[in-house]
Amino acid sequence: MSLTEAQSVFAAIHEDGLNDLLQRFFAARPRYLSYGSPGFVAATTVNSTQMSAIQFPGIPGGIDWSVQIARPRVDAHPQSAPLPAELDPLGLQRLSIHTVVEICINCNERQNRGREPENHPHDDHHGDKPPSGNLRPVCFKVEVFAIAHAERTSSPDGDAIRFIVDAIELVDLQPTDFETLIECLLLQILRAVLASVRLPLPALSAGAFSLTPAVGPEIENDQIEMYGSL
Amino acid sequence: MFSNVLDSRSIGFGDAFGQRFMRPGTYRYNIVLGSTGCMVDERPYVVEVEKGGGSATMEQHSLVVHCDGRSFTPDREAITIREGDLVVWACPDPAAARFEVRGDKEFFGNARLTNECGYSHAFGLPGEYRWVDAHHGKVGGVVRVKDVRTDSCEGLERWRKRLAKGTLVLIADGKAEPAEVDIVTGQTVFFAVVKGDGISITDSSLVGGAPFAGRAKAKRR
Amino acid sequence: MDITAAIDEPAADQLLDTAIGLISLPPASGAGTLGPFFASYNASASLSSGDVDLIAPSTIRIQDFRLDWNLGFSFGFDLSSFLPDFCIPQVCIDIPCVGRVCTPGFCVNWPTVSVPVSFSDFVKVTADFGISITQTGGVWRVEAVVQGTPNIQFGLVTAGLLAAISLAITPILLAVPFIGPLLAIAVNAIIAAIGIAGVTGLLGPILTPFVSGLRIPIYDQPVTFEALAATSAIDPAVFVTIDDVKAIITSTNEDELVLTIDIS
Repeated sequence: MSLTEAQSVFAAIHEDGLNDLLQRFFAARPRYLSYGSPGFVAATTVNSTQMSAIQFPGIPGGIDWSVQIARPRVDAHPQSAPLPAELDPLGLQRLSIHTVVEICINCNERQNRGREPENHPHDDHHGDKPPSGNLRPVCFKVEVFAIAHAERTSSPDGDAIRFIVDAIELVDLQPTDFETLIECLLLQILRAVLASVRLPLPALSAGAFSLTPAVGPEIENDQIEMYGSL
Repeated sequence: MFSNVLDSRSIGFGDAFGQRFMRPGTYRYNIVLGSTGCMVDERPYVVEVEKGGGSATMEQHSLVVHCDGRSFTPDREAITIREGDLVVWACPDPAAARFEVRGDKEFFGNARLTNECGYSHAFGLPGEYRWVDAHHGKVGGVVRVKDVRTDSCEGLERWRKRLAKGTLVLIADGKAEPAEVDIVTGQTVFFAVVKGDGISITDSSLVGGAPFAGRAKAKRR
Repeated sequence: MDITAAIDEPAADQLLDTAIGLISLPPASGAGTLGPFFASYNASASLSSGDVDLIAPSTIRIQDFRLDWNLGFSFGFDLSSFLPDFCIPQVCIDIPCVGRVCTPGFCVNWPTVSVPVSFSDFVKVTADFGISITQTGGVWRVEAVVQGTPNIQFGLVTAGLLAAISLAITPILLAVPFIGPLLAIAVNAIIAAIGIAGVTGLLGPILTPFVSGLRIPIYDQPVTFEALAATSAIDPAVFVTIDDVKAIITSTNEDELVLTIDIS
């Protein structure tokens, strides 16, 4: 059977190539894997994305938090990498994502961050480095498996694909209700993170041929495939 | 490629200049680059004219002019003729420059055709040649040269025979007769100046002035 | 292989048509023979599309691609080589009351003339191309490279060029004094001397270099490939390294040109 099938142009990126591309993407733009409130991320830079603190009455400035996601690895259908029983086996047109997520909050009970400029004028608060003075981070790291599908979208570089997370499973987290809570939280976070990563079609084909997509993305044969015309 | 210009002021390949000498005497002259005669004083060559013996027959003496760069010499530096005879100068070298015969008498020379002289020109290219007097005289005329196109040997032979037939234009008292002639490519027209006041036979395109149009106007009337 | 990209034959036809149309052929100049004559020439040419036939495992046959060319050349010849010596005979005229005057006869040495010719036409060429993969100067290139020396069929071009030469000669010879009725003889003799062999002998060495060694770009990307362009200071460009490129033609239920690319 021909590669192009009923179309004229075929482009596919194998999961190994996709992992290489994602590694390069997150290496160049690590802020897509690093988020935090001002207590952890003083400003949005290429390294981190600043978010709002969790607002809560009686806590001036809110609760500082951060989420650090390890560079994910993907495995396209058919399944090559092991998955937790809840996600096994990997379904058709699906890929799995494996990563580790670290969630931190600031446990400084005095919460005097709002007054810091007056009391500590010489503190180093510039850049994206977290304030060092009163931050007492408490962190929690969890291994995450996710199942996602790919869909076509647009990007500043033209037609692109992105990944939509369908399901998530955490490893060895107890009790079950807590696991469910964290899964719900991380599903939303990972879904948002990956949806913002848009991979243009020329990147997926390393610039080989122009492709006006008609069919795909399809996940099969350990790769993501697109079909179309010149 | 040699030029084929209708201009009696300088004699080129296919042209000839002839002068009759009506009185006995020694006539000295030079042959110089065309139109430069008035800048040269030397008169190294001689036409010795003896008194005639009462014969009414004009004899023609043809001199061949050789050209060596810008230097011209006749094949005989001195000739002796009888009064009333004609001397003709021509250069058969297509690579030669145009020349002028400059005599020591006003009537003797091709720069200004005065009395009992002539200029012949073989027309190598088709077209209508309106000739004028470059010295602002009123005499002029037209020579229409028609090309002959043939691809047969017979046609070619007919053409070659026609080439031996010349056409005469007589110029006297400021008039040319006939003023208009029709010939074919390669044929020769002989302009015989019986009496003139120093004219030239010059293609009007060379002098910039109004071309001769006398007969043409008459035709249009 | 990390990346696989393929196009079928119609897409290859479209791709190569576009690529061929973008090829800028450098003009050529030099000297050659036109039958018995030497000609100096300037030539320019452009290419346009043909029909692509992908032949596994590594041949791209392009049928009837078109080479449009403009040729300006000039050649000189001694007219004496084609026309016999010719003499205007002595002409004698009877002048009334004067007598008989004769002008001297003279012989015409036919000149050497130079004829400039300008001619445009096209030829269709069929050629087999191989696939060349190179990485030089930090750029990966996949090109279709013509194999051997394509045979150019000149066909009616020769007659057209002979007619153009004839048209160019005529006005120049018309300016030769006394050629008159000999013009047609001269033109016919010159055209006969050149002949079809003379025209192809001139055109072949001029036009063949335009297509021999022809390279049609298929893939042209830097080793450090920009996968995503920078959009802001916090979203810089993303580069991947192209480690290897391979190209092959496969034949299954249809013929395809397949590129496989390794990245890291």
